[in-house]
Amino acid sequence: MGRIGRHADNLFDLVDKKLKFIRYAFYNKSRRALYSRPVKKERGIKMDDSRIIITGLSKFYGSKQALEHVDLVIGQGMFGLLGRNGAGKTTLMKILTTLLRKNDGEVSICGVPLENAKEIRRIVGYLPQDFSMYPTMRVEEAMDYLGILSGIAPGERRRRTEQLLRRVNLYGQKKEKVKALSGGMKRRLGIAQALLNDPKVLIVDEPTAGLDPEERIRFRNLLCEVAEERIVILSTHIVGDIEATCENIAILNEGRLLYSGTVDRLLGTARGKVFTREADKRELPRLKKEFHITSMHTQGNRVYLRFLSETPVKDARLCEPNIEDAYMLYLYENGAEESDLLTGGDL
Amino acid sequence: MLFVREMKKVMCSVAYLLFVVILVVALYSQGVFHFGKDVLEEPQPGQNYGVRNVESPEQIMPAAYDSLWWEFTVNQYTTYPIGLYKIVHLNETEKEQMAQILSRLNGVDKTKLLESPEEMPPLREGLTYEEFKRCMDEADRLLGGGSEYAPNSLIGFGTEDITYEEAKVEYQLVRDKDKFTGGYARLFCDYAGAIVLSILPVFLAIVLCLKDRRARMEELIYSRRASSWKIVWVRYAAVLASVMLPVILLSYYSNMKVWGLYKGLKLDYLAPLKYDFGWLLPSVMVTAALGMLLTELTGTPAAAAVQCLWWFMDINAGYKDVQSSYALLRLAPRHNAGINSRFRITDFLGNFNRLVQNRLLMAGIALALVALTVCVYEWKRRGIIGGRKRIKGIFTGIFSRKNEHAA
Repeated sequence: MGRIGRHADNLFDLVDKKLKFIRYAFYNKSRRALYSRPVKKERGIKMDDSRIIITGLSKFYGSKQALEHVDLVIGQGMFGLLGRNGAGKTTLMKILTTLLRKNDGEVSICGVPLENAKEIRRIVGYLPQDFSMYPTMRVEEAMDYLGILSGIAPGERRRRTEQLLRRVNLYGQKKEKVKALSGGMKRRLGIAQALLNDPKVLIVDEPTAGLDPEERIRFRNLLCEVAEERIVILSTHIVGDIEATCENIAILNEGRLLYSGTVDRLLGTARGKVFTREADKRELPRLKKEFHITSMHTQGNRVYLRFLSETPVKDARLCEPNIEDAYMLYLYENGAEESDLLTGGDL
Repeated sequence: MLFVREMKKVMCSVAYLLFVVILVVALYSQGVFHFGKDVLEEPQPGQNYGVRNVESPEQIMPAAYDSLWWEFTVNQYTTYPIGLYKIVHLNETEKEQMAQILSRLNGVDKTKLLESPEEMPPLREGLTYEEFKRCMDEADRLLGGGSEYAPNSLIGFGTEDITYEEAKVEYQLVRDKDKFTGGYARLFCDYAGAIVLSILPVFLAIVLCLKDRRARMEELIYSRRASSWKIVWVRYAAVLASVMLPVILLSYYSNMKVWGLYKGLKLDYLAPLKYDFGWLLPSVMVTAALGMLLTELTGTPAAAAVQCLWWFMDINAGYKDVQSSYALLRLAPRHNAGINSRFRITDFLGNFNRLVQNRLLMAGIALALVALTVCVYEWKRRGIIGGRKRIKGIFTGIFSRKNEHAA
């Protein structure tokens, strides 16, 4: 019976997914009928707009929905996109860089609709998640090659290459082959190449994964510097990166936008719900069941816990939340299981 | 400049180095760099001017029948079905069928032929050449094809001497039309086209197209401003230029060796260049274009297998007769069939229009394939198709369906 039940569940899941897909297809059709070009003006999309405006963005891979009706406005400066692995961050980044086609919704980058791929590519710089370059090319050669592909004139290319390599502290390595660079140097080269066309928008996808702490800090500072004059979208599952650099953030989970706003407002939602407590190690299994623990460390037989609770807890001290607490709270409140977070999260 | 960068990417690869080495070795092995031995001298009366194949029923019928009879008696037939040497032994039923064919040729009952095959009866009185050819065609099909009894191979049984007048006309044509160097350039093209240039450029195209994937550069390039049109065409041009550069140098190296043999005579010093571009370039174009299209489409080196198959079929499509040497769909036209007539100027001039049609067709196909590659590249760039994963998915689907049927 159990096996039949499981099969039935799978069947229902499948039917549900298919229906969801069909529902969206109808929804998209009616949306397209409603929102023809003149309506776009009413929504305030102007050609001189310096924001990214995303409305009702959906993306399917077959019947699997990767993004579900995402609405988001991103202004100048650093913007953090936070979410677990598989939350839809990379999909969103790829749509913004014209590498993936959206199924529904409207996106404009600095007033340019996403459909105008050529213009979008002119104003967007992109550092992909698994950034790499031809290993046998020299650093300046690689920059020059990508500069040619960006349509930059030869003189300007040389000037920008030199300027950017100095900025990312790689000028001394300009004659070295790409394969000779360390991981951190490669990421800095990644930023330099993404800035070659002096983009209005810089999109960096998981840029600090695998970097040592020193390189990570250097990289964050570099991002903050370049964000002074443009939109920088930092997509990551590492909360520390967001905490150190971004004022505005969005949280994605399973393709849905859970939160969009300032870091302060996010912290405000967790205020009064974060506690610390010292307990005996033997109590740990019980406490784990009782509370959503965000961090802990042990010292001998004692364990120091940091956890979330809607109501005050006896023997626990209320404390100031950090982004990690607020992020976890958002995920719990939106149905994420603790086991999912422990396996899927990388906090 | 993008073209220079792409060309550098091709020319600095190991595949390119191998291509050049194979090109040189293959041409050297065919004596292409030693044409100096083949001096064409003005024919004088009373000399031997060689022979040529001719469709002479009087010669072909007895010679081909004799050959078939001998093979029948030992039940061992030599064939080249797909260009490879193969010995065919017929079973009892097939032997009876072959005896029936022979019976139609010599008028002897097939059972008698099967019982005492040692004595060869003469050909039947009144046997027409048309009927003879039909019988030979049946025999060839019974042997699985590729035998010397096939309709377009029978001509090999007929030869005749070239006369002084014919030799003189040939010489005058080579002197006036080819200006000597043209003939040698044609020979160079025959070897270079068939052996190397209708197969190896595919590997360079594959390497160039897969380089982005291997270096994980695809997204970085896709997100750039340059149009797919520009990227694909420039890369294609880079492959063509990289291939043609050593070809031009080697064709001149080969051709220059004969310049000193015709002192005082008018030579065409641009002949190698004309033939390289007119004869060889279309083969290179179509080979490279197919490589680029299939590599972009599948994200795998599958193009190598497809091109190898095409090349293999083409190289074995026959080169002994003029018809197949200059066939319209020929990937690499052939030119070395004539006996003691290496320049084949009369064949060349007689089939020039067909050759031009063939070369234009191949160039046209190549351009169409590249245009299609641009579309595929743009679709991949916009995430409309997913390259390797998609193709892999299709194959997985096919195989899983097969397994389901098997189950």
